[in-house]
Amino acid sequence: MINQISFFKPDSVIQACEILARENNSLPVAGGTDLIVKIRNGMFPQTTAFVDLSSLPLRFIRETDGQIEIGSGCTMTEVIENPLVCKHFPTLTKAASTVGALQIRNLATIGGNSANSSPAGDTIPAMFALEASIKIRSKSGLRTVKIDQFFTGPGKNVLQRGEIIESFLLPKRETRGVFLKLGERKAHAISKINLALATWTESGKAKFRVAMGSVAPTVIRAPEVEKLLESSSQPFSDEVIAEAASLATKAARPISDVRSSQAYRKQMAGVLMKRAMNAF
Amino acid sequence: MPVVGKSVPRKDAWDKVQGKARYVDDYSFSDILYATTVRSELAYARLNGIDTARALSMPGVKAVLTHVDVQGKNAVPLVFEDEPFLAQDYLRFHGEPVALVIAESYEEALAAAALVKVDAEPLKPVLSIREAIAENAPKIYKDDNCFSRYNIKKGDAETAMKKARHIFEREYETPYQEHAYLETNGVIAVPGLEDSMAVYGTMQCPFYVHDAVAQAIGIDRNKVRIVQTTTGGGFGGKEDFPSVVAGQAAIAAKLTGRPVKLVYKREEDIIASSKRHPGLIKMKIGTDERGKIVAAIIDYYIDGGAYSTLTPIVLWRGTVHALGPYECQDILIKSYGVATNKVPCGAYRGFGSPQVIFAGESIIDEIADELKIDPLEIRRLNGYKVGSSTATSQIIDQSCGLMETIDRAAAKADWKSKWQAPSSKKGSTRTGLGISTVYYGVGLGAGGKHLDRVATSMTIMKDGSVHCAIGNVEMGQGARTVLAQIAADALGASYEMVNVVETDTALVPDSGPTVASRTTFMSGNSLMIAAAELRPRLLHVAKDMLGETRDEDVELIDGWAFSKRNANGQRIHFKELAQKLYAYRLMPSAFGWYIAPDSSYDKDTGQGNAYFVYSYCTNIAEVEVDMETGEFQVKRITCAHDMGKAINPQQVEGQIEGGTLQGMGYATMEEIRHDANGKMLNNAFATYILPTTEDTPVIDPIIVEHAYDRGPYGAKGFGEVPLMGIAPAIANAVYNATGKRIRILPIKPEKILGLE
Ligand SMILES: Cc1cc2nc3c(=O)[nH]c(=O)nc-3n(C[C@H](O)[C@H](O)[C@H](O)COP(=O)(O)OP(=O)(O)OC[C@H]3O[C@@H](n4cnc5c(N)ncnc54)[C@H](O)[C@@H]3O)c2cc1C
Repeated sequence: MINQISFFKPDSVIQACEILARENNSLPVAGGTDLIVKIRNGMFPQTTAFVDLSSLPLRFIRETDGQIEIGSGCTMTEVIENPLVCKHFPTLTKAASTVGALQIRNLATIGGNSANSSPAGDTIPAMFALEASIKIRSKSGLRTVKIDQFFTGPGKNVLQRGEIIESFLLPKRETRGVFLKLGERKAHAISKINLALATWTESGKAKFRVAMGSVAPTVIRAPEVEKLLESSSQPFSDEVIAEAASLATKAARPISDVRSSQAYRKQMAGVLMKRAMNAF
Repeated sequence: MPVVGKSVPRKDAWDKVQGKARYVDDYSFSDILYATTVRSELAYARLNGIDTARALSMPGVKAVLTHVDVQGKNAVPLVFEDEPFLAQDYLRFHGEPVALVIAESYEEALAAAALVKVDAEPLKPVLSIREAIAENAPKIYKDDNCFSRYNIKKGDAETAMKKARHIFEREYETPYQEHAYLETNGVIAVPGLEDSMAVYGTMQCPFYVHDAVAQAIGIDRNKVRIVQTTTGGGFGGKEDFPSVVAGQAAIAAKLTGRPVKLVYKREEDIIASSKRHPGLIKMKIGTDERGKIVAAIIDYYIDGGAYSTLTPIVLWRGTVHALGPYECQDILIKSYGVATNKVPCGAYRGFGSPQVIFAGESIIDEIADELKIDPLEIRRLNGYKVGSSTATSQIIDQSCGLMETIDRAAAKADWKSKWQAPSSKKGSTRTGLGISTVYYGVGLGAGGKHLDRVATSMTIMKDGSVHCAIGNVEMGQGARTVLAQIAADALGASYEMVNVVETDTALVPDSGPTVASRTTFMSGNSLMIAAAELRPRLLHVAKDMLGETRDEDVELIDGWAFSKRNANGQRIHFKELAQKLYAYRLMPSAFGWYIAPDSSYDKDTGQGNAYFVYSYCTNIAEVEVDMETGEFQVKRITCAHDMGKAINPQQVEGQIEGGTLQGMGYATMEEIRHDANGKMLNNAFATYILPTTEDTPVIDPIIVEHAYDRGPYGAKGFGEVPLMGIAPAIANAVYNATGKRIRILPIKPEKILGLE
């Protein structure tokens, strides 16, 4: 039979969750920049329904008790252009601005990037570095999961049937940071490797968070690097920078695939680490 | 020349930028059916049977066709006719067409196609040149896996090599390249009355398609009509392959008696249509103490894929050009087009020469480096000038602008002050300059000379507008514009009044293919012949209207006739001339038939005048390499081209810009990968990486005009040349920056750092 796919345009987030729970083999669709390509390539042949999230009230960026909450439906462009994000989370602004090219950034959502759960997803390392939590909505309520508990493998995460990402909660603080990426070309490039670094001051002490993508089945943090940076005095000496680079290389556990080789990715983890530190 | 040499606007530009142009998928016919293709999942297998029963029972399905349904001959007419329209007995590559499903809608055809069961017994595939030529290789084509081979023997290369002061021996490899035209392959076959068949589609060679359709359905050629629709790019990829698609659609249309549309999705276009041949080039060059080449021994292998298609002719061009534009008295070139169980390779801008140019221009750079000669000087020392003798002992007797392209490119790129030896480079960001020089035989040459003729039909309409039908196609390269310029000046009409229409086999006889940078030269010349026949008739009526006594006393330029002795006096518009022409009942049409200047070729030694004329170019690439990541940016490419005469300078620049970028993709990112079983892995633009506008360097085109006396207004042909030498220019620049020599394309950061 020809694959008939129903298309639902729910009126509320709860209704979306209800439909997703009710309809076997239904999938939420936000910008569709991952999903439509996959469907066209014959992945998820069982799909019977799309639930369109794009007109739901998921496109907001607001402050809520000590956190900044970014709705999952925000497009990359909306994230990039948001002054709150820009002021507090330059790491995320930079990461979002490397996604695809302008046309993609106008469609692709921040929620879709995490929900798609590619180890190369560019906003994910930034979310790790900024200690984001993910608010997950279902018809029966809400739960919140720390970003480093969300991903379970390439393309896999803890979302259950009927659950959607409602928003990302980022502790409100003024951070500085960088996002670096190596791709096969200058635009429309899936990362061979990417790295996010964020730093802020907490009780008078400098905190550092470092995360890397495309070097393991999921985005990973590099806690040894973070420890080293937090225990070293700034400006960092060449020795500390070199040590951080070598720890980043050790933390990376990449594979060889169509985009790059294991050896290159491993070495680049160190190079990007060094560059991230020099970017301050 | 009122318009030749001017950058007049393209005839097709306005419609295209407004989105008005219609491509084949935009057309429909009442009662149309849709076809989709069932393809081989295996690289090599014995085909035992095809079970179509379930597919046939699906809603909307009209027919499921296999090789038994081919009404004519199940062979695509090209050089050897070894490729079937639909697989028979064997499956020879992953993606080979096995069956066609015809249904009332495309979706229904797709759904049914998934149910066609192909019963095939897998065999061990041959997947690379090295596997195919290994001594104990399984034989997949005749007893040597070789579609064709050539030799070029000039002098005595072995002896000369022994006497050489320095000997350089290197191996180079080049990858596939996918054409990536914007419009995928597609046709609509429309059955007509009295068993006739019309096929509309995107294509470069309507006359190849004409042959293919006649052969596929077994009818006479006068019942077959091929109409080229506005074509969204070809680059060689629509030379042979539309014959397959059109043949298949015609088989389906004949069988069902209804129009059939067969348009490819991108993924199947990449998996099934032709590509640039991967190459393996073994170079051995001997020089004297100054770097003058004294001996060359070259072995050139190309991966033809599962069927021979155009491999024999691609190989011939590459063989002739294997040493590059360098004088040498003692040369031995041996070449082999080998069979593998992969997609058949065919024509791609450059046609077998970018592979050898990468090798030749890399090794000359290696020689210069070892002998401590400026890479530019070694080219000046060895390069062709008027009087040089080519690898086939042809004397270059005119129109040789190579040295001027070197000088002009070098001046523009500031080579003298910028170029430094690699050993002097330091730091984590390094810049480098690299050069390549290229020559290119225009037209089909001695290898294809029986096809090297074209027709034109030119008619002056009653209102003075001029209608020209040509045998070569517009595929985005600007042919209709450039040819209208030539026709206008040759006739004395204004450019605006000349319309050169898209090709239709009902309008002109077989004019050969639109390939080999031959269109401006060949169709241009045939338009000039037609114009030369019509022009005297116009002068004749003008003479009467101007009250002159002799035809030669009147002049006709840019749509106006006037007396030579009174150039500022009475003028008569072309429109009035046309009306008078009809009133006088003079024949308002003429046919141009142009045969290419002679070329020759000796089968055993490869010696002769391989091509009637050559175009030349020099490219200088400037790169900046990040020594820590291996990433590099091509900053600028300066390209000086001798095309004889730039009929339309802006279009020449357009060709240079497009070709250069395509060459940069070939050099730096494009490659097709297969798994261990021969399955193509990256048949989509998400994984087949092409340069984007963000990757585009500054491209600096320079026009050099060394006129060819037989060309229309001195023009040669050059559409392919801009791509051909870009890869070695970039590779040489990367070497110049880093000291790292890349001998296997594409040049990637991983290779520069030795971390593959
Ligand atoms: C040309 C191109 C270039 C690209 N370049 C990049 C790049 O450089 N970097 C990068 O990281 N990505 C890139 N991508 C991938 C893609 O654009 C991003 O991953 C994007 O963020 C996905 O968001 P979306 O809204 O389009 O997701 P969709 O395609 O709508 O959805 C993706 C997946 O997430 C699910 N989903 C979506 N929203 C939710 C939600 N709120 N809750 C639960 N599940 C949800 C969907 O069911 C689907 O499984 C590119 C894609 C294309 C086509």
